Amino acid sequence: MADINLVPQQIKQEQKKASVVRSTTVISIVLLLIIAGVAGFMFYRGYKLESEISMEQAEIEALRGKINKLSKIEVVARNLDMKYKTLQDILGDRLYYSVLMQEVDKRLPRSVGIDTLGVGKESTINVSGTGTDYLSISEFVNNLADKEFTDASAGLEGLFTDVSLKSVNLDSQTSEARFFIVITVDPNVLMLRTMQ
Amino acid sequence: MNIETNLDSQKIKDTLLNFIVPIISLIASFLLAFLIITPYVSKLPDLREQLTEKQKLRAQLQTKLGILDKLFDFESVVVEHGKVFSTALAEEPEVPVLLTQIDVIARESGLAVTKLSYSITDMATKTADVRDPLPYKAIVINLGVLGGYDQIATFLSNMETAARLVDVTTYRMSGDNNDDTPDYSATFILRSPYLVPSGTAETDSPITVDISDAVFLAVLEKVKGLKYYDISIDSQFLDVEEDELEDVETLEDDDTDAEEDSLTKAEIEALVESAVGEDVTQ
Repeated sequence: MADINLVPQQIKQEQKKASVVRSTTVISIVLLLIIAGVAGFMFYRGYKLESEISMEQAEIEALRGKINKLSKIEVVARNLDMKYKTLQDILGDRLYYSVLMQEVDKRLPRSVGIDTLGVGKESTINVSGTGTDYLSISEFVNNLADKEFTDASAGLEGLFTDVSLKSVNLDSQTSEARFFIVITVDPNVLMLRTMQ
Repeated sequence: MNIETNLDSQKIKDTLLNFIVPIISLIASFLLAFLIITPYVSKLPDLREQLTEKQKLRAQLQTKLGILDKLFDFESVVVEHGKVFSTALAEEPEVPVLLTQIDVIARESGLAVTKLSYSITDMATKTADVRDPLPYKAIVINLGVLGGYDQIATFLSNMETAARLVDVTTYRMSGDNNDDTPDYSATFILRSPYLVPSGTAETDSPITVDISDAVFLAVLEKVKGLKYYDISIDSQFLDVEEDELEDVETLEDDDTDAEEDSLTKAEIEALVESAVGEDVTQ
């Protein structure tokens, strides 16, 4: 059996048109509702944030007022804080050269004398002097390089990280050996010493 | 022709009337998007950032108020701690006092002072990190002495335990070790920091000092353990008058004439004035 549609063509067009209008209306209203919802949420969020900022600002002003009343003690405290931090930095980074001098002296054999001693670049100490012979200079260098030197003060065994004998010359007139060495010092050891 | 035109306009009117609701909805949606959503999309992050900053500042001020309240209760202790720190870190250059302290220490250590000069440097310009400059200034002292190895070691030790901080930046000693008690000529570059106190309160800046903190107390104890040299300017110049010319006035010149030894009071005052002035090298 064949389907027979007796509805006139004009009515069909009217129905189609009405359907398009209805669906367009529904879609546009749904879109409007969604956009209105988003806009409303954003407006509310913005308003809430602004009111929270206002409240924070009011609290900040109140705190500032209280702090201003304590401005005298604030100045004293601020200066104390600055002094404390500066002293902490200075004392923490301080190198105690007296300890270095004592350690060099402890490791110096009796047959070796120091002519010059000076602080060099990058934690180095330059030492020159004379020894009665090559062996005495060798002993001095070994003592400095010895990480388990028995007479070293506690905690200072590793003070000298590197000892480099730069030159040795025999003085023909005195028969003494002149030397020049560069000692690398561990600055942390000298700084740790300061905290004891 | 006229009838056709009328029919077309009627059709448009009908169509518009049929779609009036969708059209109004779309216009309203567009207006909402343009007038509310777009501005708030850029405004909300700024507001959130502002709120975070305000919350941080409030928390910081609350902490600061708590610290200040606590410090207010212990005001005398805070002032006392400040005085203790000031013995190590002077509030003014006080160059004559400092030079006298170094001179006294050198003599106590058995050294003969041959040279003593100074200059003042701003450590803020010396720091490697420009974002965090050092807040203090320093007096750089060039000291020359004569003495034995042990005396130099003792001098260094005494310097390290002196209440007013003097750091040894570098030094060099040279001499003849052929004698039983060799004498060395030593040159020291010393640096003594001083911190000019701030006289103003900065309400929004934090204060982090905690006078009951273990590290704070350790630093305080360390400073208290240093040896304080009580040197007044009057006593210094009574003492130094004769030595001063050797140590401060000419220093490198051992042959100080008698005329310079007998300085008048006005000349001494002028010397004090010049000693306190900045960027002066005597």
